Amino acid sequence: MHRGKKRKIAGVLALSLMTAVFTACSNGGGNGEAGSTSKGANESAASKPTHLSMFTFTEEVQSSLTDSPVWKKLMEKTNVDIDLQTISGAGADEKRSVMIASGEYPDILDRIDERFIDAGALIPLDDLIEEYGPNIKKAWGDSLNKLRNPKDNKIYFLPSPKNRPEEIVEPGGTLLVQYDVLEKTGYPKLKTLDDVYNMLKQYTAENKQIDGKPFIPWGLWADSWGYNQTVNNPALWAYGFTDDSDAYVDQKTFDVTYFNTTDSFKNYLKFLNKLYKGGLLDKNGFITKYDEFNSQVASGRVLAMIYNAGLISEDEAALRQAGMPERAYARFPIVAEEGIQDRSQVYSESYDTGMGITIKAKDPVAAIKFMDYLLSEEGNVLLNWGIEGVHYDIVDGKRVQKPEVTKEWNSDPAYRWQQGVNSLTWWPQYNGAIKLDDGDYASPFNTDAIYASYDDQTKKVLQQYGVKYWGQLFDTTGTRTPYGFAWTIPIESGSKAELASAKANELRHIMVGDIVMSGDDATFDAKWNDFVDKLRNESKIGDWEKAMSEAIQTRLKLWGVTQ
Amino acid sequence: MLKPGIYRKLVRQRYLLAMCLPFVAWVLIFSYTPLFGWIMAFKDYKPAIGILQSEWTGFRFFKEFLVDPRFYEIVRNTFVMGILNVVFGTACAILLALMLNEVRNKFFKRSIQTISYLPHFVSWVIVSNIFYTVLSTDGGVVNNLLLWVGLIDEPINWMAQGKLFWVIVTVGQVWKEAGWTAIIYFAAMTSIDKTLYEAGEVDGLGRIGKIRYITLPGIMPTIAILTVLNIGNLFNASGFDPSYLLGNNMTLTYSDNLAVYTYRYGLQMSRFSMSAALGIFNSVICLILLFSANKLSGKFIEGKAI
Amino acid sequence: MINRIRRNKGDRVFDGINALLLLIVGVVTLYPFWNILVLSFNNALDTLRGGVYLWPRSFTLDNFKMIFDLPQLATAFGNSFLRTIIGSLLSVGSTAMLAYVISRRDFLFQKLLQRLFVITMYVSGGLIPIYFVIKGLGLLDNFLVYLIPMLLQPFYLLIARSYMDGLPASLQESAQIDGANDFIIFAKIIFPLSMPIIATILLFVAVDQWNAWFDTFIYTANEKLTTLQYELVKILSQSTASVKNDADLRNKLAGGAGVVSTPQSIRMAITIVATIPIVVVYPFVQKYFVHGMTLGAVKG
Repeated sequence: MHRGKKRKIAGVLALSLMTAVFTACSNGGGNGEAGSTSKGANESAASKPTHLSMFTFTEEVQSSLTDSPVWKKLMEKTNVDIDLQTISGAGADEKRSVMIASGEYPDILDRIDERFIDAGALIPLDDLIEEYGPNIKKAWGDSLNKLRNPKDNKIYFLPSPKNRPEEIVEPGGTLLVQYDVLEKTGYPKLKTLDDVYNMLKQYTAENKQIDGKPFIPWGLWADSWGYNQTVNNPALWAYGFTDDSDAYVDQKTFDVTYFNTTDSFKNYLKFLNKLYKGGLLDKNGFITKYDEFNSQVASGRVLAMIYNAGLISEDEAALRQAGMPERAYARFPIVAEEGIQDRSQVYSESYDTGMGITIKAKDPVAAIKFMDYLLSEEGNVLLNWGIEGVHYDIVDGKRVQKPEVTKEWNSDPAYRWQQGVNSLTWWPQYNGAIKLDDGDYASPFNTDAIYASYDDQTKKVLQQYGVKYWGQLFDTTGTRTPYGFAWTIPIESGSKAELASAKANELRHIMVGDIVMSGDDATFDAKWNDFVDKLRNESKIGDWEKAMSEAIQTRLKLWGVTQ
Repeated sequence: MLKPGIYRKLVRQRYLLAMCLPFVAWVLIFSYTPLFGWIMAFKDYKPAIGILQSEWTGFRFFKEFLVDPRFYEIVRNTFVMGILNVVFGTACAILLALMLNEVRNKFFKRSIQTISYLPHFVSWVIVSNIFYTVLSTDGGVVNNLLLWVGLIDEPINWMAQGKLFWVIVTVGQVWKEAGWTAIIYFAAMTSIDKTLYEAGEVDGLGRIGKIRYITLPGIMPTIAILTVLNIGNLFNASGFDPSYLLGNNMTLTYSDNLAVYTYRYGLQMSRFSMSAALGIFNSVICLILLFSANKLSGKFIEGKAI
Repeated sequence: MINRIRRNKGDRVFDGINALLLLIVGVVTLYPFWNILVLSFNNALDTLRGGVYLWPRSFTLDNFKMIFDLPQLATAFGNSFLRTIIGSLLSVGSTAMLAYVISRRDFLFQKLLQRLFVITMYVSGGLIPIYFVIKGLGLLDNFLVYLIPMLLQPFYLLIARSYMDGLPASLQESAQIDGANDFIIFAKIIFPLSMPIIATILLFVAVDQWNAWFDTFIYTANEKLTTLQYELVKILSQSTASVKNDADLRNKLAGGAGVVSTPQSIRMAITIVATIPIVVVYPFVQKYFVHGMTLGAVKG
């Protein structure tokens, strides 16, 4: 008897507490500290800087930034006072969830994607840009349409514009070959995968070991995000596709097929299988972890790979520091066979993240004005080059970084943040080797800077191939896709399509290694067929293909592409 | 309404009541109020419109998991790794505490104790690196040793063997946590009355005898309670980090557990409802295990563990 | 005491084997940690190449440089220190008091109370509802958010209870006869007698507090409330992010000019920073294990 009663009492107690909490909840909203301070700012004189809170969804920002001279100058010029918060790697998903669920947004959200649009967190920028964004309009021009949300045709965030030609200074994902391999094999012309295979065969016939450990002729790490970097994307480059990631897009009908089910991908796996059978592939490549792989590269054991060159910069530094500059890597375009055009470095203009203004912004006009300043020539130069006389000088009408700045920059990675120079590279302004309207580079990171950073060994190899920097070996004029990069096209979160893609991803991690390490062609084919079959029937990748095809059609319409 | 006897007892125990009431309020607020979030599991929760306005979906998210072709695999892995972890984790911690308790040299005892818990502070990322290095096929200590002894002819790729993963992850868990957990048992041993040992001496008990008849029974209540709690936790014991970080492509079918699954299909895809559904599934299993274990514990110790 | 007893041959064999096994345990647990320490003081690029085992090959303090360069280092350290001290004292006091109530089998609500807490180990409303509760209580951007939500952990509660179960009932009974109320019995008799387990729980809770960073991240936006562990996590994710980020890859100078440390090495340094305070404090806790309580003396 009394047991039941006790339970009831506890229940009532819990319930009343719950109501108490809920009421507290709904009353609490207006009393936040942020609200009161900015209210004060609004009421005071116009000259007082407007307080803006900003949250950026990237981990890179170092806290010294907000004390830097460039940041202070930026605040002064735009008459705002930005309180900048950042995420911390392990908790990005949680932070986004909590923010969306509670509806507690700062004034400005940075480096965010369509999930915040779906959640109704952002205000459309169209009218604001029209009225207060002369620089935005001027810089973006027609490309502004590429920012429109397919659901309502409105613009919600501003990324760094890519609508001007950019010189390829350093290629991204491409074929990397050790200098020593090139030298010992007589600087071969490398065009197709077979050329690479033959070169490796020739080199490994005479050279077996380094520091007592065997060479790994072809490097691979297919664990976690390494799968895309070392298996999926290399197959895309080799068959002349741009970075559509998981999607193979028919360039006539724009129908999407899951790339890992295509013949191109199968043929690339065949190449890996050939390497495997020829003893050139790292047998453990499919279970190698990132740190382990770096250690292999940094100890000079990996002879060649198709990989993102930026990812091995630390390893190359380690090799040079250890007195093995001949183990650093040359960058070449590579295709599977003659007749395929390399498009690995073709930049397609499309955007998936950016800076937006939230529904909680007290002063959206101040926010858009701030964003507009970033794209003004003055703002662009300030954030990328720094302050004239301090970080750069004008020599013969061109901006030149001060030598002491270059020196500090090259020796201390924290320097960029302490000075605020060229640190917020994703912000909505021009960056990299793009030219501004004044005909000069948008940032000090350009071909001159890169050439100055090369060592003698690199220059020697470059000379053999008749170029001054690696970017010159690459053709960037290849056809762009009319829809941008397929991976920048969002799929509705939580949809059947997204689920299918997650399942397929799981499956390829499990199965692809096994396919590559088949002993003979019959086994290879059997395993491959099983793989494709499972992708179709278990992962239901068709759901994803259908949704992607539709999304691409929507985007084409949105961008005004006529077929 | 209350029986007068109970009323009198309440008055007599007013101090006890006062001592626990603030904490009851605390637990209701911080642990029970948030359970309203479980509604999400039965709705297609869209943050933009809030929990209450979101559309009801019934058991859709539960079903999605239950009919997943990998359901069996995930549940199996979660259980197997959980059981291995609880069994070996507990046994090794107790063993370590007992062994330390027998050491006479104070310095040695203190040093080993301090050293043995250090791995607790090493993150799984590093533990995973250590395992990959030690078990590596080119130059890993284990393979080198086996080759040298002549037990194997060529290096074995330990990390690529699916079933071995369960052993490896258990070794990792034990290595990381046994020393830390042993601290609890070690503390429990201090409550054993010293005179019992003297009496045991008189009765002619040897070292092993004293461990068996005095030390072990002395810490039995602690063992019982930790075991019951751990059994309740079987389904969580394998954890996210060990599976996610130690596992690789070749072991996915043996390393993916419910925590990894929840991460992949819930959090990472911002599917709050799926996360909530998997959370409820998990809680229900935990509670069933907990209360079964508790019932069982009644047979071994006086009164139940909880 | 045990060591007064004369040792026979069997004893010596037992001790020998025991010592040998423990020595193995010691080596297996110490070496990896030693290696982490060595790597944290080794040049990051040199570490990448592998082969550093017992001693730094190329000594440097660079891996710690980022940590000690932190602008908010003093604030962060101060907050971590404060939350660890206050938080663990509060927790351990509350845990002991509640554990005592639960250990009283004659208490009317004993079973209900105990289960009320045990169940919370296995059910959770999830991050978002908890966030709403914290927000509703006005704990956002409030130092109390470090103390109150972490006040009790059922696991420690039950460990403390089981220790108290082992204390002789006669002590309580005689105090009750002397007319002491339950609080006095707890404070004057049970608490002092439970020192070994209280020290243990203090250690555990202190570690939890010292290493917590997620609450700082989710519940606070004020720089003044930052904690050391959170800043460390941030440093680590900065270094990993800049390695993985495509936008940043384009801005990387060829050949990795300007590399000072790597995520791998920073992680080593962070592990050391997170562990050292505990290693320093531990001997004070250990004191309680060695002495323990001679119950006979209390009884006498």
